[in-house]
Amino acid sequence: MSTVTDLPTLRTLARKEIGNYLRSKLYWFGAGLLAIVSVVGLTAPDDRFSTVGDGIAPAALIGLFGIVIMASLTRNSDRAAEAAGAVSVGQRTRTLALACAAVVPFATGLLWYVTAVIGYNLHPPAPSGVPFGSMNDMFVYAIMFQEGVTACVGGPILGLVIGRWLPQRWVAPVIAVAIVPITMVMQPLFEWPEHWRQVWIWIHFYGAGGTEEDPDRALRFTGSPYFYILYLAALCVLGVLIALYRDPDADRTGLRKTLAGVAAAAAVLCILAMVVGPNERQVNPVPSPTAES
Amino acid sequence: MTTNARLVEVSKSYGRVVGLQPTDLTLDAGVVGLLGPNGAGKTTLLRLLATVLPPSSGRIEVAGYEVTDSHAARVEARRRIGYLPQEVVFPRGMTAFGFLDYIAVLKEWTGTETRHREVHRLLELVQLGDRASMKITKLSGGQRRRLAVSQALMGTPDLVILDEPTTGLDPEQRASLRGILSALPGTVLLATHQTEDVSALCDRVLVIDSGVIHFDGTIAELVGTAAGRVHVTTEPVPDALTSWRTGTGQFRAVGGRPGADAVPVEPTVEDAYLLLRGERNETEGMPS
Repeated sequence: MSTVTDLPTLRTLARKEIGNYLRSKLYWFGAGLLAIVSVVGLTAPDDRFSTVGDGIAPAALIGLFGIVIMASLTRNSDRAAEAAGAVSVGQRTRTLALACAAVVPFATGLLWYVTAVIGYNLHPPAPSGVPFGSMNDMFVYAIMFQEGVTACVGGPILGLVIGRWLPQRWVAPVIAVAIVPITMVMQPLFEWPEHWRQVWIWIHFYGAGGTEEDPDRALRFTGSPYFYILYLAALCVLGVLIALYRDPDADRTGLRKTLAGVAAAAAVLCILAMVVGPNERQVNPVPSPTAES
Repeated sequence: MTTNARLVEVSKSYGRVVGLQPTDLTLDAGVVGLLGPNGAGKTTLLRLLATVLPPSSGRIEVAGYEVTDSHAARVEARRRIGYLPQEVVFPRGMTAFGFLDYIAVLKEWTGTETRHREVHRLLELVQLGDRASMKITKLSGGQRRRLAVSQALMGTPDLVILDEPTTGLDPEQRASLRGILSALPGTVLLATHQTEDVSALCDRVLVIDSGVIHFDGTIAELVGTAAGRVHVTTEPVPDALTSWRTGTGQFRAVGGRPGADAVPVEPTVEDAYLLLRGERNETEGMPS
């Protein structure tokens, strides 16, 4: 099937979609705000945690906005194809080209990551922050990566899936907004969703979760951020496959097998992310600055 | 003469509703007009030929490729088809140039220079050269229609299928579009409600109704079916299919039995089409 393997067309279309992503005003709005956060991270980061917790900024400003941007690009691609009625380039190639456009938010996330790592090294966190105990710098780099960079890709890929399966204009913004409270609740900063983390890891591996005596005490939560990164990467691949599955001309038998394989790999990686590493919360021996002496 | 499309016993049903009855049709080079009332099956026929819609039965061949055979054959055929759908929803935020450039990539124009040259050629062709960098939302309705038409002409395809291309165009733009379409080397299939466009442009005309092609012939043959049945009279003709008072104060009657003072006049494509439709409605006992 020439539309599947036509690499020059895919390359050209991918370049077009990258250009379209770069023309999005929402992207530049998010990137502008992220640049401010990065500058603050370099010059005046948080005293206790340095830039370790700044990953929420690219996740929200690039990843979350990316859901809306990519769903909109997908809709535009479909509209153009429908306007021409019968084009030789199929939906599969268009979907892959759109997935390639995720390189823009990914590169933006990487830029933030580099500045955040520099900020962390220029202004290391206080002993009452992280890392402590069995944690090291690699652990911190991993949680910054999973929290910031993977979200920059994951958001747009989710937008691609939404654009393919639920193309109504309102769906992507509603989902983007819904993710905010879900993320807030599923952080281990609250006690009650703790048991959910046993079956579904969501975002954090450390935090100022506190103890009874010291409510702001830094904690290390259960699980492995390294496997969590791989799990998120598998979810991104799964997202692209789910988007490709929408193509009416797709070889669905082959796709189903690949989907099953990647889904199984994602499940295994998720389990590994939960069970590898400490299986109990670890408490920073250094009390928080707000602790009563 | 090159045969660019062929339908063999092709039918299309949407559940219980029949869009196209089993139809045989061959399209050679030239401009073919497709006339018919709303819901007659014009768009179904065009979408089948454009490979957008799969038939319920029968075989469709476009430019030598049997599109009902395989996806690969369909892709090959699509490389040789230009199609303008009846309604075009444009992508948001794109310029006229950007829109055509994007579609050019979807039509596998991967070389940037040749693609841009083709896009500029098309924009000039539909007189939008000076609007290339303008957002589509800023274009007028007629300009948007011309932009939509231009994408169907990309690469001078063997088979150009246009669903009501002149909707929203002013007389000057319609005349200009006729010039463009008449110069195309392949087959142009044009569905329209504008009988003037058909008479001015088409070598051949098809009249479709209720999913059946009722007439297939030249313009002269279609007009010939109305010879002696269109009159100018001083009084209205009660049993005429349609009659109206003209600017001279006389009545023009299509069909019916006019009085002794009636003067037969040269029928138009519209007269012939109305008579054909009227006869069909009478046969089926439907109001005309």
